[in-house]
Amino acid sequence: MPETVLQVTDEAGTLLTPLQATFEVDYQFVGDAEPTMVLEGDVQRGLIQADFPEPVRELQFSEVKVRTDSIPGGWDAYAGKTMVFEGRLPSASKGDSIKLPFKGVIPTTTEEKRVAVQSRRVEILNSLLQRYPNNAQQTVPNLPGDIDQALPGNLGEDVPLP
Amino acid sequence: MPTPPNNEQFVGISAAQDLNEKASRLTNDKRQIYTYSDLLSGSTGATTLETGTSLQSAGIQKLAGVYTVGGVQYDSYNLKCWAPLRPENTAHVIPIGSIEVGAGNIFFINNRSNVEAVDFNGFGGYTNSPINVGAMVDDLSDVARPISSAGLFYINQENIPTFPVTFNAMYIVAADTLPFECDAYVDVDFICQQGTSVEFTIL
Repeated sequence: MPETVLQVTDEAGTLLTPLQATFEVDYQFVGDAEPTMVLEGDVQRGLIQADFPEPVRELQFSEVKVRTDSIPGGWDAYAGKTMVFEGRLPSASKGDSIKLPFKGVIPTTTEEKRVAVQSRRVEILNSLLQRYPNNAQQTVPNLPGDIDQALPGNLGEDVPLP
Repeated sequence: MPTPPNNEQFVGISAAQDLNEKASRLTNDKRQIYTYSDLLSGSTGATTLETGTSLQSAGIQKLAGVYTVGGVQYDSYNLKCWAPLRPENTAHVIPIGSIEVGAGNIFFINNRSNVEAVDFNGFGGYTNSPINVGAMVDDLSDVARPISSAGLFYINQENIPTFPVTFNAMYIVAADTLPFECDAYVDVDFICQQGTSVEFTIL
């Protein structure tokens, strides 16, 4: 079976590229009491890419479940969703995609936007300062005139050439 | 739309005039004729910048270019921002503002951003270099030096945790192992779904 690619989008069809989510594909065969899970994996950059197995028996429906991850500080604006495809497998060529409902906040005022953007700025800055700590100012001279003071005294003396 | 030849002529009507013409015989002195080259020379991008709370000045402007990629048509816009990265520090994150579109993703297709540093006690004057690792920056010594290969210098397009995918927070991000300062002049073009609304908010 060729690889199936399904887009995971918002309700207007915008690809949710930064989404952290997993997916599960179940097949419900005619006569079975419960669906059988046939695939699972990560949604990668807004795409479900997988080889959907050929149904071994008559298919009542297939379903794709997308579960969004809630990571502290991560992007968490969309809820998960299950889409059911009666009697067939999902197909991008038939226009199938998984449209997730929005569960976040739509900012309406400049102040809301400012607070959110500044808050994220502080998070990014703190992450950078952990990797690039600002303790260099105590040990590295900032002015050329300070270099002699920063060096041990005997390194500053003239040494006659042999 | 196919690209018109360079000598194609257009009829322009002042924004102050109603564009309501029904094959009329009306011809007056408000009309002006200009060529496609004239149109291109006018597409300089954002030129009126507002000032934000981080001392940054920024703005956007729609460009003339329309792109067709894989059968999808995109409008193009220019974003400019001038911002000081001061006082000196090992890390700087400057908010430019937010770009909200009605639908679809935005894609940055051009980056002409510049970094300016002082080099008064070095070789003299100011240095200007493209925003990237290796861009020249300075510190209290007033001697310019490049951002080290362990550092960072880029324009960040970021999603806010609870905001929709169509909300794009824009930042200037720079870091290095030693403290530094400089000025950044952001000049980038982006494309978005044709006809969608685009709103820039300086923050």
